[in-house]
Order: sequence, then structure tokens, then C-alpha cells
Amino acid sequence: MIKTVNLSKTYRTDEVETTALNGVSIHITPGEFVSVMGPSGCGKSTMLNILGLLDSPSDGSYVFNGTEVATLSERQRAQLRKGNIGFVFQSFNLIDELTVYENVELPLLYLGVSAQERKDRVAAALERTQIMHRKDHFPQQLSGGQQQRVAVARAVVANPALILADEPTGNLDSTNGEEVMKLLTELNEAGTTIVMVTHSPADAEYSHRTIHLFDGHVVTENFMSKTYAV
Amino acid sequence: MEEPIIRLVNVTKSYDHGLSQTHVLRRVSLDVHAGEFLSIMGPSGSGKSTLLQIMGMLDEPTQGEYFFSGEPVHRLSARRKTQLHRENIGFVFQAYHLIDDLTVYENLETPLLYRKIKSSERKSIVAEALDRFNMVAKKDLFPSQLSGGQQQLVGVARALVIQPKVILADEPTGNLHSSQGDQIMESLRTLNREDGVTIVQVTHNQDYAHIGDRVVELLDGRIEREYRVDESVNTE
Amino acid sequence: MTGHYLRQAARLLAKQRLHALINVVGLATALGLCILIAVFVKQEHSFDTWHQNADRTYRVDRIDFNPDGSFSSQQSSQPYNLAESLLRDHPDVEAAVRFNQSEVVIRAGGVMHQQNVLFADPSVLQVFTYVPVQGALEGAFSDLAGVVLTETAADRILGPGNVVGRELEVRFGDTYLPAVVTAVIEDLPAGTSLPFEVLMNFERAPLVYPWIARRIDNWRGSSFETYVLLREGTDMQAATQTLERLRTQYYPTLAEEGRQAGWWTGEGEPATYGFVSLTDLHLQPNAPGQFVTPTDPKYSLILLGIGLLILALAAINFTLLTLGRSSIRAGEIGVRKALGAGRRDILVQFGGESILTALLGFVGAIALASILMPAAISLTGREMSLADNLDVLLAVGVIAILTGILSGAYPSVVISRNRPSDTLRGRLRLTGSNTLSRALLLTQFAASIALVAGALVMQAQIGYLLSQEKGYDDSNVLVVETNGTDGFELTSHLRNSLGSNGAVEGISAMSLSFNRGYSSSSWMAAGVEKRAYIYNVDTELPDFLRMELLAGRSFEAGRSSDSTEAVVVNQAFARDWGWTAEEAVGQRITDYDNEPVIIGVVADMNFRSLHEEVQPMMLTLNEGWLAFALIRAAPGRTRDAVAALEDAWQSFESGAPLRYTFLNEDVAQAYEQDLRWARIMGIAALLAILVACMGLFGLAAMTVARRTKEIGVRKVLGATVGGVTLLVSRDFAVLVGIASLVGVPLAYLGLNRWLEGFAYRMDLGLSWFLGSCLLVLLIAMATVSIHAFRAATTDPVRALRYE
Ligand SMILES: Nc1ncnc2c1ncn2[C@@H]1O[C@H](COP(=O)(O)OP(=O)(O)OP(=O)(O)O)[C@@H](O)[C@H]1O
Ligand SMILES: Nc1ncnc2c1ncn2[C@@H]1O[C@H](COP(=O)(O)OP(=O)(O)OP(=O)(O)O)[C@@H](O)[C@H]1O
Ligand SMILES: [Mg+2]
Ligand SMILES: [Mg+2]
Repeated sequence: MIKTVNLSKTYRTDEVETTALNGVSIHITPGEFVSVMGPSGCGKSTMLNILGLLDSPSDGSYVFNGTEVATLSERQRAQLRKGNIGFVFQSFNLIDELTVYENVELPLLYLGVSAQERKDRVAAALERTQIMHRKDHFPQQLSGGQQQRVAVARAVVANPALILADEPTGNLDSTNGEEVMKLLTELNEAGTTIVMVTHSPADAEYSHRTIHLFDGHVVTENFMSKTYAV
Repeated sequence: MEEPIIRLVNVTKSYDHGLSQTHVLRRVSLDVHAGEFLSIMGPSGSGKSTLLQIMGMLDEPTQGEYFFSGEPVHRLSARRKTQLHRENIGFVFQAYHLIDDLTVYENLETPLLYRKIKSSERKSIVAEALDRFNMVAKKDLFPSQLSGGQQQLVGVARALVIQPKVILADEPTGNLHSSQGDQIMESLRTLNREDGVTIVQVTHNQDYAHIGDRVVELLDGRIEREYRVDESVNTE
Repeated sequence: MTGHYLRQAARLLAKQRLHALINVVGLATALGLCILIAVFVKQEHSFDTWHQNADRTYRVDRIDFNPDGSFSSQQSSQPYNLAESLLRDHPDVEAAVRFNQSEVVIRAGGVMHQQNVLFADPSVLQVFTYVPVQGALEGAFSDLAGVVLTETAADRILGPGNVVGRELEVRFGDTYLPAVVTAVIEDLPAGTSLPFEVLMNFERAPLVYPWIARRIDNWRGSSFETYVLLREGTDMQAATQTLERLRTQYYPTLAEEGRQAGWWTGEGEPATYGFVSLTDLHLQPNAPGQFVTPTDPKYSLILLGIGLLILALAAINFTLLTLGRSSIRAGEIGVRKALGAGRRDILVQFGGESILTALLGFVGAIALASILMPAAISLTGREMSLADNLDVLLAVGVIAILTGILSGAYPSVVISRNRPSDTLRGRLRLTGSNTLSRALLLTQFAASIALVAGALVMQAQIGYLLSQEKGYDDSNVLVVETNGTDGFELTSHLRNSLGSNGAVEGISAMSLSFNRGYSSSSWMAAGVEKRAYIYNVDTELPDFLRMELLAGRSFEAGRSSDSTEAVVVNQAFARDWGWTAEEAVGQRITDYDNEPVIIGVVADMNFRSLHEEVQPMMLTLNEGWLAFALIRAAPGRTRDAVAALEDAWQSFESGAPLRYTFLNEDVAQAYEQDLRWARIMGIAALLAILVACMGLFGLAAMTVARRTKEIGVRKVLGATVGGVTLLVSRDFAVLVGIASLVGVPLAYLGLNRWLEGFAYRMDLGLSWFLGSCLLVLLIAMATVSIHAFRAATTDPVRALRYE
């Protein structure tokens, strides 16, 4: 599903040049659950953005579902993204002007899902993330963890083939965090490919494999013995 | 016993939405003594950030009383509150809240400017903070050019540069790798032990909570449990 | 601290280059225009104020009433004797001056100059203020031959150097009489209602013009504008009463005569006298003077309105942009407060930023106004300068700073009043800022729509006027100034030498070409006195100009009686006296000098501006008084005709230079003011729209900037480029829709009133307004879509990074 070869990303500001990713080659097969770990600033979010077709690499090749996407225009990438990928952003990125319900409903609207089905699926996602009681609130009326749960609900509601989650439990207490991890595991068992950035070794336990990044390099890949039996 | 630096008496916070009401804090009473290191825990949405913002005078309770070093904050003028806040409190936000249009360096410098600190002194304080948090290479970048964790580090550093009497930190390690998180906690512990800085932190991490002296657990806006760390070790 | 603020402000300016540019340039454009408009309007309203005695100088006007006592008309010309009578009888009158204007030929050093001369009583130099540069004004008219020249005229007629004492020859009628330059004065300021280049002693006029001599002691003829200087401290009410009493004293039997003749059925007097302040003359379209047409004050009001509108638009833009910026930066305010900033700190920072921007805009405005000044001068035809109008600059500067203070302080006060936690949570916690922004934007769109409609309709109306039937054929007609030569002889000579030329279709002559001066006088017929315009012509003229004869006959060359007692009038003349064209033929009329008979009636023709209904006019045969020869060229052969004319003029050997114009251009002169105003309005409206567009552009940019994150998120969730563009544009489209409901009725009412000032007016169809709305919508959509599209096609990460 995902295959990158020597993927690099450099940011240039007036004086400094930052290499956020430096020759990353990874391979993720459909149905895998991969976690990405590494110290702050090592390039995790950058990698996730590129994998999710939100950003283009400075160098290297990226084949997504059999298509070379490194050189596509934003318009073409948008086409590929639609319905295929669900995101949980590190900073949530909820739309301030929309309620919790509307935020979660949005991906379904863009997919042209019928009203009744939308209602059911949004409700299910909100139940699952235990945020139903806040469905008519606006993001700024929510606590950090609640916003994070809305972001998770929005990412899973359309049943995408690939979910990219950037620290989906960073703002959550252990109970809620576990709940989110269970949700992701279930989706994974149903066939969804998941790439998740996390700082928590406990959360990484849920995945099949962990990619460790350091300074833009892949340093090690650990396979979780207990689950890698697929 | 000496007067607590923070004293909350029956603090209530609620939001009206036409017919319904959201109760975020319900009659919370809490004393924090000078030199204490308090951790607040609790599930998401239980009111931790709200409580911290009230302590930081960034928010006002709907009801109840708040005394800071004996001064009745709930009755003070805006000017006096600004002054009290400026002189005593360093605040770390859960959502970092850096100023977009300022570089890392300038973000760190800003609280010093409001405290009218001399230019040369400012320079050395900021330089030291950059060094301590390993951000020297990033000092001329804008927040939008930083990773999430790096923004969080700047947010923590910004609260510390003014050498406040009280540090209020809202999940200061939420977006950090464990080693970096450990490092932050270490800094807080040092400030508390050696400089006598009063610290109140919100955290989801049990281990980090136990670095402090005392833990308060919130549930649904109420104090559900409160224990001293050394005792809890025994109870668990 | 200041350094810190300045650094951030500078960085914002650089980073938000577009925003800053629009804010500064928009404000500069608007303020610059306001400066120009204010200078112009101020000048329009300060005509003649430069005379030291302006506040106690008045023109004496006669006001005629209808029998029911309502105002009928106002007349600026008065009888010959009024000035001296008032000086004698009215205790408040300190001095009185009569004026009369005439075209004469001045010969100096063998060169002839056709020149407009103003005759004025010697007291003119005491009542009005002129600045001598050579000679002395005192005693300049102690001799009848004295002449006062402006510098320009002196230079043209006599060349540079000291000319006081130089001799001139002035042709009156058939003879040249000597005159001597006694003083040279500075050219008159642009704002004058009594312009002249050559000033002569009025006391000489009756000696050289028989018709003026005949006016002495004639209280029925009215030909001379009469000005009085009232004594200091005069009680105007009492003075006016005295004036009215004096009029009855001078015309003791007028009302009675009128009743007997049947033309006056009213209770009181049929007319009265009134004082019109010198400084009001320029904006008194009711009582046009003889010398320059006053401006309709309506126009300067409209212009002032546009100026204020532009100012309002700019202030609105500025406020909107600043407001928008601050709401984007609401979070920053919250953080700053959390970091220890007090309310004052916030106020200083944000207020300072916007005052700085406003000041930059003001500096730009002054630069712009000075750059545009020459263009404004040629557009308005008025001499203006910024240096003379420092008060205007000061006022506009104050407005700029106020705009800066208000628009900068408002958001920072409102935001910093909120609790930091609120500001931090929501990004847009500006109380009602959305409603306020929308209301302001709505105003802007409505104003733009009204302006576009106004500009379009004004242009269209002038086009409509110009396309009207004139009632005569002015195409290919050359108007040749006789330039001091005898008109009759010149015409005969031209007939002889050009009569057989194939390039020339016809030749005629008249006393005044259309719009090259007017002559009118009162005529009495059937006991009713009315005014009519008079043209002295030769027998050919009605045919030459292809006028349509409705009744009677035209002049006939052979009939000697035609030259002494026949006139041809237009239909309006007949209508004025209540006759049909047929009835008019054969009527005898009188001006107390002559008693001609109407021999023919021609169809109405627009020899003046189409603002007015066609005025009564008469043609009289007077071959001794022809100042212009007319030559009609064959279609397409104008060039040949001109060449032939040049040869013929050469062989006439008059010694005067050949000067000619085209009749259709002379006629178009009547619309010059309208055209000019239409152009001024058009340009002002255009610029106003430009200012509005700039604001809109900035606003759209900001809306998009504010929604960058939202756009990014929506795209990640599957929104298309088109969908995002639509999302952002839709709000604006709805606003334009609402704005049209406000703007169209306002524009309709305003334009309807404006059109009422025209006797001939176009249909004010709905399509003009629909068109304007569409245009504004189009501009708005174009501006907004550019931004929306750009936002929609950038990488989402870049948008999301801004969080
Ligand atoms: N403006 C508001 N209107 C309504 N409810 C609000 C508003 N602001 C906060 N709340 C509610 O207050 C409650 C407490 O919020 P708070 O941010 O204090 O939670 P928290 O304990 O910090 O949670 P987390 O760990 O997720 O950050 C939440 O349920 C939230 O939905
Ligand atoms: N627009 C940019 N300009 C310059 N440098 C950038 C930009 N965006 C990211 N960087 C740099 O790229 C590096 C990687 O950033 P990234 O957000 O991928 O880190 P991360 O691994 O997600 O860290 P975290 O765990 O803190 O979120 C960082 O050092 C960051 O400063
Ligand atoms: Mg990250
Ligand atoms: Mg919180």
C-alpha cells in the first residue's frame, strides 16, 4: 500500500536549512498497524503528512496504492486522498465554526453519503469516542482531550482504507487513551491500514511494528512478537 | 501554619447554553502552600485546565472565592490582577499558545519585556533558556516552523524565563518523547526543590504525577481524591 | 519595548504585505482624492471672497413675481440710471458700479486684436480688489481714455516691459479712438465671477455706443449689471427694505399699468429689488450673470458627497481590515495578557500599529494629491494648489489619525476587556465584530452599486443630450471672426471669391455665433413684456442653417422694409406670448427703440444648452452688426473650404489675422460644463469603486486567511477546489444581493432628482441598475475567487501549519 524509497524533506528558511526527513525508505502492506516513535522534531509529523498526500517530498519516490505520487500536483493528490485516508492531526485541526457533530459529518458530506446514513455513522463514531454528550458544542467549548476524541471520530467516520494518526492519545487520560487504542485496533482487524505516531510505549504495544525515527532517519524497526502473526 | 499561596474556596464554574448548563467545576476547595509541588489528574474534560486557568487569573470562577497570598483575587481590579499575575505566575498552556508572528527568541523575550527587564539581562536569560531546552538552532524560527513537541518546549521555557514564584503547567509533556518529558519533569523538580518555586501541573502520566508532593484527582468537576505521594505509595 | 513593537509591526507589514499595501494604498488613494475634492469644493465656495470688501458687496437683482405672488424669475441686468440713483437715494450705499461687456478690436503697433472688454464705472477700483503691478489704480480712470490691463493681456497686446502710458487704438463701430494704458494688474484669481483682461471706463460707453446712449434715463431697458458697496455695519434687513421702497419710487405706476394692460393681475408689485451677495454669485444658478455662467451648487454637493463617500469607504475598509487582523490576532492578545501585558500595553501596541499605518496612508495621500493636481486642474478647468489649502490638508490629516485611533483602539479595547481564557479558546471573540463587519461591508457594496449606477446614467444622459435634434444643421460650418473688419463687406467679399467654389455650399453671417456670447432684451407685445435672445443676421441665415419655417416667410434680400422692421422668431417666442405660429406672424412688438413685425416663425432650435427648454429667440436683419461670417463646406471637403477661405481672407487685405472655429464645436460648448461634470463624476465614481474594490480585495484576502485552517481541513476531508472557492465566495454574493436592495433605490431617487434638472432627459430604466449590480457582483466575485482559488490549490499542510 505504501512504499517509499529515499524519501527526503528539507525546509529552507532565511538562514537555516532543516532536513526533517533524510532518505526514509519504508514499506507498509495493506492491513498493517504501524507505529512511529522518536524524539520531538525528528520528522514524524512530516513523514505522516507526506504519506497522507498532504505534502510533497523534496526528494525520493513514494508509491501509494501502486501510483507514484511524489510528483503529483495538489489537485491530483486531492483526488487520491478523497475517501481513502483519514487523519488525526497532532493539533486536532477542528473547524471552529462547526459543531462537534458537523465536524465529524464533514467527510461524509464530501463523499455524498445520504442523510440518514450520515446520521447513523456520525452517531456511531461519536458514541465510540464517548463524546456524544458534547455533539452540539463548538471546538472552543471543549477540553483538549475532548477535541482530540472529536478528531479521532472524524478520522474514522468515513471508514477509510488508511488512517494516519498523529499522537491520537497525547492529550488523553489513560482510560480514554485505551478506548481510542481499542477503536483503532478494531478498525485494523476489520482491514484498515493504520500508521500512528506516538510517544507512549504502551500505545505502541497495540501495533504490529514500530518504526523508530531519529533526526530524519529510520533507526530501527521492532516487530511486536505478540501480534505479528497475521 | 503559614498562609497558603493559593486558596480556592467553593469555586464553581459553569457555562450557560440557553436552557442547559454545563457544570465544569463544582464547589472545589483547595489550598496550595508556598513551595508545594501539586499534580492534578483526572479524565479528559473533568475541569483540570479550567481549574488551572482560574488559578492563573486567566479565567474567573462563576462562584466562590480565590485568595492569592491572602489577596482576594475575586474582588481585585483588572489592573491589580494583571500586576499580581505578572509578578508571580508562569503559565504553560496545554495548546502552547505561542505568538505566531514572533520568532522563538522573541516569544521567550516577550514576558521579560512586560517586566521591564534590561536588554543585556534579557539577552542572557533568553540565551540560557534556549540552551537549556536545546532550542538554540531553532531560535529564529517561527512557531509554524516547529514540530508540536518543539512548540511545547518553547511554551515551557517561556513560563520559566521570568523565574516566577508559581508555575502553572497544563500537560507540559503531552507531546513529548519520554526522554524529553523526563527532562522537563526534572527541571520542574529542581526548580521546586532548590528555588522553592510552587508548582501546579496537570498531567495524565501517573509517574510524572508522583514526582510532586501531592496529587488531586478531579472527576466531573469535583475533587474525587486527594493524597500525598508518599502515602499513596503505601496505599497502592 | 517600542523597538519590540516596531519590529513586530514591520514584520507584519512585510509578511502581510498585501494586507498592509491595501490598507496603506487604499487609505492614501481615498484621502488623496478627498484632498483634491475638498480643495475644489472649497474653491467653488470661496469664489470672489478674495475681494477685500466681498462681505459688503452686492449685486442688485430684480425679482419678478407671478400674479399669485410666487417667484417667477430673477434678472441681473438693470437700467442705466439705477447705480447713480441708488448712490443718491440709498443711505447705505457707499459706492455703485455698472458693468457692460463688449467685443472690440484693439489695434496696437499695427496689429489688431479682437478682445473682450469689460466697461466699469471708475468706482470699480474702490469696490473690488485688484493688485497693481505697474502704474497706480488710483486715478486710473480719471480720464475717459484710461485702460487697465491684466498682465496676460498687456503681454499679449503690448509685449513685455513697462506699458503704462502706451497708446492703444480701440475700434467702436466704424472708428478707431485712442486709449492709454494707465495700470497693469495681476491676473485675476480663478475664483472670480467678474473676469476680464481689459477694463475700460464705463463713462465712455454711452459716448461710443449709441444704443447705450439711448438707455440713459430709460427705466424700461435693463442691460447693466449693477453692484453696490454697502457701508460697514449696514443692517441688511433695513437696507433691503429701503431698496424695495426705492424700486416702487422709481416705478410708481408699473403695477397699475400692468393691470390696465392685463399682464399683471396680482395684489402687490410685480417685481422687487434684492441684494445678492458677491460671494454667493458663483453658486446662484437662478440668476446667471452676464459674464460667466454660475455653477450649479448641486454638482459640488454631489462631488462633496462622493468625496465623503470615498472617505467613508476608506475608513470602513481600514476599520474592517484592522478589525479582521485583530480578530485573527485575538489569540495573541490573550497570550500577551497571560504573559503579563496590561490593557494599556495592548492598547499602545495595537493602537500604535494602526495609527502608524494611517499616517503612512496620509503621507501617501499628500503625494498622490500633488501628483494628480495637474490632471485635476485640467479636468476641472480651475486653478488650484495644495499650498493654498493647508487647512484642508490639516483636516484630512486629523481624519486620518482619528480613523487610525478608532479602528485600532476599538478592537484592542474590546478584545482586551475579555478574559484571556476566552480569547485563547475562541479565535473570534470580538463582540459583534462579525455583524459589524458585515454591516460595514454591506454599506460598501450598496455605495458602490449606487456610484456605478450614477456614473453610468450621468454619462448616458449627456450622450442623450448631445444626440438630440438641434433644429438646425451645424455640420461643416466654419465660423469666421470678422476680427474688426466690416462684417457685411467681408461677407460680400467671401461671396464673390468663394461663391463658385465647389467646396463651399453656402455663406452667411450673424452677430453672435451660438454660444459665443448672448444678447437678450425685453420685448413688449400685446401689453406683455418678455425677454428674448437676439441674433443679428443677414438674409441668408435661416436657409443657411436649414431652419424649418413653420409659418410666414423668411427674410427677402430685395425688401428694404425687412432690414428695419422685420424679425423672424422661433416657436418658443410665439408660445411665450401665447400665440400659435400662424397667429404670431404679423404681430408687432417693441423694445421701446424699435417696433418690428414678426414675418416668420421657425421651428424650435437648441441654440443654448438642453438643460433648458428652448428659449424665445429672434433673428433680426442688421447687416451693420455682423461679427461672424459663416461658411458651410461641402460634405467631406472641409479642408478645401478652409484653404479657399485662407486665400479669400488674404485677398481681403484687412490686416487682421484669420480666426475661425466650427459651429458644432461652439454649440458643444453649451455642454461643456455638463460634459466636464459628467467626466468628473465618472472619474470620482470610478475611483470610489476602486477604493471599495481595494478594500474588498483585502477583505477577501483576510477572510481567506482567517479561514485558511478551515479550508485546509475541508480539503483534507475531501472538498474540491471548486467547492472551497464557492464556499468562500458565497457569503460575498449574498451580501452584494442585500446591498443591491439598499443601493438601487437610493441611486434611483438621487438620479431621478438629478435628471429633473434637464428639460430633455433619458429614460431611467431598470437595466441601468441591474447592470450596476451585476458589475459590482462581478468585481466582488472576481476579487474573492482569486483568493479562494489560491487558498484552495495550495498544499493543505501549509494551511494547517498556521495553527
Ligand atoms: N465555553 C465553554 N462552554 C461550554 N463548556 C465548556 C466551555 N469551555 C469548557 N467547557 C467544558 O468544560 C469541561 C472542562 O474543560 P477543561 O478544559 O477544564 O477539561 P480538562 O480537564 O482540561 O480536559 P483535558 O484533559 O481533555 O484537557 C469540558 O467538558 C468542556 O467541554
Ligand atoms: N515549515 C518549516 N520550516 C522549517 N522547519 C520546519 C518546518 N516544518 C517543520 N520543520 C522542522 O522539521 C523538523 C521535523 O518536524 P516534525 O513536525 O515532523 O517533527 P515531529 O517528529 O512530528 O515532532 P513532534 O513529536 O514534536 O511533533 C523539526 O525540526 C521542525 O523544526
Ligand atoms: Mg509532530
Ligand atoms: Mg485540559
